[in-house]
Amino acid sequence: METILRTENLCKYYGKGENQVRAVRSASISIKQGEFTAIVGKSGSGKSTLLHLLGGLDYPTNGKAWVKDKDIFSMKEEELAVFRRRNIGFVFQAFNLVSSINVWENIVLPIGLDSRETDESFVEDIVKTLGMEHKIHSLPNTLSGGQQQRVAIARALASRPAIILADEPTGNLDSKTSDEVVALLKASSQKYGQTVVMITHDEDIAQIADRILSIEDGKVVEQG
Amino acid sequence: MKTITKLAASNLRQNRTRSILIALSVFLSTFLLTVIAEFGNGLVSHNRANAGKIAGNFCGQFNSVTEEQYGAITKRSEFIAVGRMARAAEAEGEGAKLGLLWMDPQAAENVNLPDAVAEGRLPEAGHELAASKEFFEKAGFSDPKLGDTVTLSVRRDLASKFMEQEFTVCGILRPSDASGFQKSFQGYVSGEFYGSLFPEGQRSYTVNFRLNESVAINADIGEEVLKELGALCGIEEQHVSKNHAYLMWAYDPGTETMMACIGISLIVILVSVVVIYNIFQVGIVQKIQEYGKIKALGATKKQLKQLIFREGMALAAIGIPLGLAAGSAAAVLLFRQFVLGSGEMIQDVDFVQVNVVSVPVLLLAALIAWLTVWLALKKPMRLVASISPVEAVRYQENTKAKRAARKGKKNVTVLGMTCASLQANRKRTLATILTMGLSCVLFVVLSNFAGNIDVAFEARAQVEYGQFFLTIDYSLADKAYPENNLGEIQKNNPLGKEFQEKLKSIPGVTKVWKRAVFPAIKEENPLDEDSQPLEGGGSMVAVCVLDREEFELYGISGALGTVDYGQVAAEDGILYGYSHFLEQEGYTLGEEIKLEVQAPDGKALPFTAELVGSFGHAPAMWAITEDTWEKINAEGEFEESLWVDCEEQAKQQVEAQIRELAAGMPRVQMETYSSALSQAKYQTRVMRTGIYAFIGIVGLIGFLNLANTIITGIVTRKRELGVLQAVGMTNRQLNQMLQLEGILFSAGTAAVSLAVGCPLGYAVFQYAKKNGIYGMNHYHVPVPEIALMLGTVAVLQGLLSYCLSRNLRKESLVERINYHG
Repeated sequence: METILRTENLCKYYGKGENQVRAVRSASISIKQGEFTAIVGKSGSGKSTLLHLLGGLDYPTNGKAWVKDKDIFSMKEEELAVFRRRNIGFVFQAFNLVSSINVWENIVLPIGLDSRETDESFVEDIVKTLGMEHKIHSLPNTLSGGQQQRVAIARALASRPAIILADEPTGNLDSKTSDEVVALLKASSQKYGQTVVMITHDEDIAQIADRILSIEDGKVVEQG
Repeated sequence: MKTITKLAASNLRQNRTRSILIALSVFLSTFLLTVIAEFGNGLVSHNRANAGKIAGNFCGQFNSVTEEQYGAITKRSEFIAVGRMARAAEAEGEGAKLGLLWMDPQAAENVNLPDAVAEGRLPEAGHELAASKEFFEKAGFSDPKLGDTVTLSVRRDLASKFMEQEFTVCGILRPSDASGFQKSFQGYVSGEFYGSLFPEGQRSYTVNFRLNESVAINADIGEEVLKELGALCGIEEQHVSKNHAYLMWAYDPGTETMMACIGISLIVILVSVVVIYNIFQVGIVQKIQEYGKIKALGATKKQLKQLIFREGMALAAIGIPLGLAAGSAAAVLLFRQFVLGSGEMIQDVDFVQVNVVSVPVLLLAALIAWLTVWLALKKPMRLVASISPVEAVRYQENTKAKRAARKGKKNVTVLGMTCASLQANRKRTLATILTMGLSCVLFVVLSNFAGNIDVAFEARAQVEYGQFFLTIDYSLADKAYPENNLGEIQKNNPLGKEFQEKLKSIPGVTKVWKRAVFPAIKEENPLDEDSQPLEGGGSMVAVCVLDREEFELYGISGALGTVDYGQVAAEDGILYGYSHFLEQEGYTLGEEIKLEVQAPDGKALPFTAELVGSFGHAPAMWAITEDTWEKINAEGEFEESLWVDCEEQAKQQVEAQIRELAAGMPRVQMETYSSALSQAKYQTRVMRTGIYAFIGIVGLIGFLNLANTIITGIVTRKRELGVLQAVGMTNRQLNQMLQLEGILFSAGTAAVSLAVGCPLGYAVFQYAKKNGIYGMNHYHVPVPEIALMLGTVAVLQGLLSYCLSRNLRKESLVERINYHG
């Protein structure tokens, strides 16, 4: 299998001297095409920082990361934004949908920003898979948390990115909805052959993944 | 309460941008209110304080007063500062009328004569004489000095013969400001000299006076009051005259000025209330969850109201004093520039200095500014007080929107996103566009006025044709000086054919226009205040003869009835000169007007005409056509005005020659087009500066609202904008989106201002033109002004969006995504 994402000695430190916080320490990981990987860690372990680095949302203190063999930190800001919308899908804990546009528009947003034509049948299929076909004209604020997260997953899938990064996608949901959402994430990623890296503090949720990495005090280790 | 104050303070610190914007709005509103109030107050005080300087320090005059009547006047408590004067004699002069007057010290002071003394003093006894250098020159003394003895040829009245009298020069008066065209000069003599010419029993005085404070009087009722008081002292009505300008300025509380100030202030208050309210409202909606939490923790309704109130008042406490200080400074500068500056240009008067800055007025301005803030706070206070804690904690700005769904588009574009965002905040968007639009409507309306001032047109109202205007200064029925009456003057008309030929022969003169005005006796009309009753019955009126061109010119504004030359000529109709007064003076269209033309050869030609219409304003009270005038066939020289045009390069020489020709003509006045034009230009500049400065500041207040909306829109969407960037929006696209928002705001503002402002502006123009208000001639859309306004709005909003988008990017993407408003 082709390696989609690879990091080498990735570090992110905040502050200086005694007050320095080492959020991520020498993380060297590689994620293969089609893999569903969970990164598990407690609150403050550095998992969100790691995900932000993997998605090119933040810059590391040290180290490198490649997505589809492209060194993402060597890119300029504008180039990185374009690269991100074409290759990386995000699912955030707080859903982060745009409140003024409807469900459909939220889903096709990254495609629109890239000035590409929407593959309507593909998006309709995703919407159907996620059970949101009756809600496409709804505004995000009228949806439940679970529904909003499903829209966020659909948005991540719609642009056929190389990798989907999910940051605590169940963090704002009750346990029943959490199970449903994660199951949908897994099912849809399998259906569309997507690579997923999911961050969670919930060991149970992580069990759905093909591979589990754990992070503690910024150090990433493979779980057996 | 301490907690509430602390909370208010911390809210202000946290929402620094909003606080600055509100404080700035309060500052600007207070600034404007202060400028308006102080300037208006300064103007009223200035007019009051200088009423005496400008118009003479007396309420009225009684003429032909006998010794007994004078005694009666001085005994009555209503009269104060009673002064006496009398015409002692006339002196022979070269081409000028020289009068010798006696004034007692009080009368002299009432007419500001002591101010006119350049050297020496006014006469006190014997044959002392004080006069201007011009007087002495006309009397044949080129360089009079104090103490010199001059011999004048004088006579006490028309029935007496001239005799030589020696005078000692005791005072030299300042020259009067009336160019080289003044033809009558006064010298002042002592009471003793007057008494030597007029023995007791033959004396007749003019008495000027002020009135005791207990007498209720103003310019409107002045004449009646003075007539009543006069009657008590045996003074006949026709010998009573009021000093209108003094009564108006010293007694009327400047109603017009005050009304104008109140009107402008109301506009400022309206704009400020809307802007401050809007900024507060937007801020509160943004923080409504927090207010909910405070309520949940136990704050009462009153405390929440107090919280908002204190936030507002703290900002007012910064904005109001600064506004008062800056406004006072600006008012003083403006007053110096426009009131004192223009006054000095027009009249050589040493004005009494007035304090433009007045503490009571400042307090009033502060109170109004404070009330403005309070008004703006009322609704936000009510909103916060009525918050239910549960609803507020759950509150999200857009959930309140009634819409649950949106049709949307299949594909998303930056423009689509921008429109969606503005649509989602429809109320806020509309409120902003309307406030900004309101300021711009005001601009468009006023620029329709200011931009359409036609300086040349205004100057042409003074000098209608050519470069020079010569006119006869005449009376109609002066009993004391009948030689000043038009009929008398026209017996040997200084502007007659001979003079016209002389004008035409001046090298460089290209054309001479003339207009005839003739005196006529008309049936007396008791309602017509301006009629000049004659002893033999009827009243004397002036009738102008207009050719087709003039007829059309005067027919443009404010006309009533028929003003078509052909029609009026065919009917031999007559027109009234001032439509505004037509009804008031008791005339109706269709009425028959019976006249008797007074020809210089002594013939009286009866003429009856139907009153077919009225001009807005005309050169005389009545007007007929040239065709009708020919039919009347009166013989004589009736020219009352002449205009002379000349080649451009010969202007100076022609002017000098005309002045030389007219030098020996006591009743001819001259005006030049270039001086009328420069005066019109100056007045226009003053007016435009004032109007645009006012609008500029009102516009700035409106812009603060736009800034607030854009800033709040960005702050509240910081996270959303972060997410958009996380899912791939580039910086360029973000800039584009923010710029587009601004452009849509500007476009909305432009649409509102043009859609409302242009028709309204056109209406204002038409109204102003109809009423003959300053310089309104041809209408044109004030394109440069509107373009400038729209350009300014676009540049300001563009700059703002650019700065905000740069500022936004200072925070990292991760920080923005994790931002919790």
